[in-house]
Amino acid sequence: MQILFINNNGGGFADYIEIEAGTTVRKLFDARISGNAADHLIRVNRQPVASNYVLQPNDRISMTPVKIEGANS
Amino acid sequence: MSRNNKPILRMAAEIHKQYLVRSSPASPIEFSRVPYERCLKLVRQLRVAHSRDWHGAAECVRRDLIAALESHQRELQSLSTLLSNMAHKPAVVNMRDIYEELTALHDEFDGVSWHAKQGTLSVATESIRLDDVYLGSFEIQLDCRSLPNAHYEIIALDAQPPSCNESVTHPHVQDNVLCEGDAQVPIQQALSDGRLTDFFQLVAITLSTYNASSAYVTLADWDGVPCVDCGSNASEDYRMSCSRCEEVVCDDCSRSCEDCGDHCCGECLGLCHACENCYCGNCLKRCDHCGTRNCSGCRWEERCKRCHETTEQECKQNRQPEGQRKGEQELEEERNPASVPQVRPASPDTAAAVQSHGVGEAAVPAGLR
Repeated sequence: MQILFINNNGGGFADYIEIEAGTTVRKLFDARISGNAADHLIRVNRQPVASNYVLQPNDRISMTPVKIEGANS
Repeated sequence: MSRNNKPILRMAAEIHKQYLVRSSPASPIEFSRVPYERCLKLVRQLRVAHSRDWHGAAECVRRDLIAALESHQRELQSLSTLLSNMAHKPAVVNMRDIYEELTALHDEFDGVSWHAKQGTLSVATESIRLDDVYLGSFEIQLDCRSLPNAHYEIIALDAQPPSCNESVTHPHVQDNVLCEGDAQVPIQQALSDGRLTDFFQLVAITLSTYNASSAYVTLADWDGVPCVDCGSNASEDYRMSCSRCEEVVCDDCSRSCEDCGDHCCGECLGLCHACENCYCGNCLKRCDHCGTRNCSGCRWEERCKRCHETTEQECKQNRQPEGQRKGEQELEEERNPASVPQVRPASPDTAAAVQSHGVGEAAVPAGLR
């Protein structure tokens, strides 16, 4: 099935991706981002969800790190 | 649709207009043949100039060709970047997306406000405290008329600027502009995709993160005051006031007067002209004669050591003729006593013995009596 995956790490691009049915938010996070899920704001269809939420076709999931370093120039 | 959602719907309609303008067929891809044809023309001219041994002309054409190629290269690169970005675009931004973004924005942030006249959408962050430094809350004000370009301002609602720079309200914000650092690409991409909630979240997260290695003013220096000598920010524990001008001077630049021991800035300390040690203005006095400033140890009777010695010598020289004469006379007497004029005995007529009391007594002949 297809979902819209928005990765605000690095490039911040949004892509439609294919995932297996029954994929949870945690599983997708581990596969695509890795690291600590607590260090990310994860929204499905613009709403906060539990890590065991099972993604549905055409869901829109965004993962945004909670720390992004600014600069001075 | 509930009554409460109408303002959001109006907001969404206004913002959607901007994205429509952006995605209208007239705006995106333009590819001109002119730069390419100019390069071809210059190549032909260069060939002709070489074939006819016009070295000067060939050099001019060569330079023009390099400039034309570089310009063409830049145009091709920007077109390539535009096409790459388009490839990542999942869908055209529609009004429903914008509406849902704005609804989510109200869920994520307090204080979402839309100023229709200015065309700005704003959210207020929570109060931000980084490394125990309170920075207050900030308003992220997005200029929706410039969408999808990222024109926005960060306005401090309770500005806590460092004492050294009033224009800095956050380690990464100067003149209301956030230096995005690592957030630059995600922010641009979010606005380009119409993901307004992501945009505001990314900016808010960047404001909540501190990067000490690349800050306009580091938090360690936030409460600091610039040193009058070196300009570096001196925190409370590493600064003092100059005892004379009362300007702030950091520990590294502060020097104490060798005489009174007062701490002073570089401006208020001076070197003694003679011993070259540091003294404050109170402890240095100008020499009456040459005007140089000297410490009390290098000064005699309001004069510097040098002038004092010079004056002494002059006085000696002024006294020398009288002393010299006396000395020479004594020396002459010792060497040649005969040359010294003797007191002749008085003749019977005029003989006058000099008495001990110095009054002459002359023997006067009887005939004269």
